[in-house]
Amino acid sequence: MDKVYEDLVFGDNGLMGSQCSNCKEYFFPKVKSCSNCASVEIENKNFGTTGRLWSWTTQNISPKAPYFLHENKENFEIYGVGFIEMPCGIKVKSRLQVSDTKFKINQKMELKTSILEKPDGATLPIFEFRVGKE
Amino acid sequence: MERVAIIGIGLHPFGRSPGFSGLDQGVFAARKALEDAELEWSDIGIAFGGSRSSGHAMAATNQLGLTGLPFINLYTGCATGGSSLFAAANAIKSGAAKYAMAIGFDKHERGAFSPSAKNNDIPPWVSETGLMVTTQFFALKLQRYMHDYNISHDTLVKVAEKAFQNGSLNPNAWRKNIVPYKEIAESKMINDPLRKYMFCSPAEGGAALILTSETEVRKMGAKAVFLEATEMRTKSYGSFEVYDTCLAVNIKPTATSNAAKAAFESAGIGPDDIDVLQIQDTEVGAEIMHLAENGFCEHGEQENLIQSGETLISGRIPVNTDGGCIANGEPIGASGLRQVYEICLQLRGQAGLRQVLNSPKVGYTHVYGSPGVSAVNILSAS
Repeated sequence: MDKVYEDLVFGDNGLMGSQCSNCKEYFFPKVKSCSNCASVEIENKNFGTTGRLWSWTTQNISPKAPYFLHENKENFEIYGVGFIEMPCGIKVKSRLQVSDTKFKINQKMELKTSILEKPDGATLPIFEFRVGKE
Repeated sequence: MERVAIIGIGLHPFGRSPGFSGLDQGVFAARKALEDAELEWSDIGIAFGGSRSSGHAMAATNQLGLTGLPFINLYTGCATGGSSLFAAANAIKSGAAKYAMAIGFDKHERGAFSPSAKNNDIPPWVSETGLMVTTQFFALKLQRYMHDYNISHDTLVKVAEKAFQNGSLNPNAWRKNIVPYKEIAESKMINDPLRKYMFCSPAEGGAALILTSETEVRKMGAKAVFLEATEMRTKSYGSFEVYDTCLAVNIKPTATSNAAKAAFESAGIGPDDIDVLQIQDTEVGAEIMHLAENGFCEHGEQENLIQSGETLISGRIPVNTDGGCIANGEPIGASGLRQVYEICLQLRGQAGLRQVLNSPKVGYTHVYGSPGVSAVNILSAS
């Protein structure tokens, strides 16, 4: 697994972030100190694998570098971007798997891990959310 | 407290200027501002300037003259121009100099900006996986806002339509052609619900303002526009700002709301007293949402305001009379100063075909930049 993803936990274990031990605010991804109360007492927090769609958009044109998934404009595929409200109330930004149906705010979303191919042929595991069954 | 006065304004036309560097355009604007104030560059005692893509603003002194003045480069994303003015105004208040200049210029490549994760203390995978695109933030904020406050797609198109109409009346604008409703509504989708003609684009331009104290203006017998308030805020915990990788359980007011509130309080003036305003319109949704965040209406009231034409030049609260960012494009260093340039023209009665009628007396500007910075000004004609 790519080193930059070591701090993220995928699949059955859910999405991993932080919780401030002092003021109890949540953060994603993990943080070293709390941007609310400035405490450095931070604990790991598992946000789970399902949530509700808080907002969404689509990325219809390829982002510039350092984006390297589908760098080649010919094979760029539209992807979704959203904030998913997890059971504890934090909203995490994530790629969304684009489906045939249009996204709807408040619909159930499920965490999905996937492996994408980089332009150099290397693979990269990333997390996405997809529309889940109610 | 003694007010700060704007006694000189200068602008290099926005858009594309082949053969002219960003810095050249800044120097052009500075000379125009000096001419307007009837001053020489050597009179300027302190300067604050910014640019993202055209090098150090201070390098403009190579062309303007190496007078040895204190010149401070600054950068606060798209709010850079607003921050330059904030700093210059406070330098005048402190007595650091008799005359101060706020200057900004830029010349950007085509296409959306590519922000650096590293420079914003964000893990690199966020940009590598395509989650750090500025336009996504506006779309995500707007999508939720439309859901919560019943803003229609038709209203989004009308905001863009107005921007191009106003731009067509502005000889310094980049986009001087009216874009018909249908063309906007059917233009390429970029980030749902936002389409191509609903966004501003990175561009080129320069702007400069010269400031002094109210006392000095009286001594000089000069004409001036007065700053009733100039405030700047960065994001506070819990607000929803650009590049956020998560949002708090309880979402709090934005940097914009906090800056606006502070400005109205310090000026002792309310939103109802404002005759003409400039609101950051990075895209149409930003203009809509920022109207409420700045206090000009309640959340959700924008739908009726815009549908009934209240934000047109002929309306009750004319917004972005020069075409805003959408028709002028965005040279980051200059954009916030262009807003103030336009309000000065309006308050001086020099806005030509786009002049708001009945001699507007009080104006307002609001700029917003990454990663959650807002600067606002309240200006008066006398």
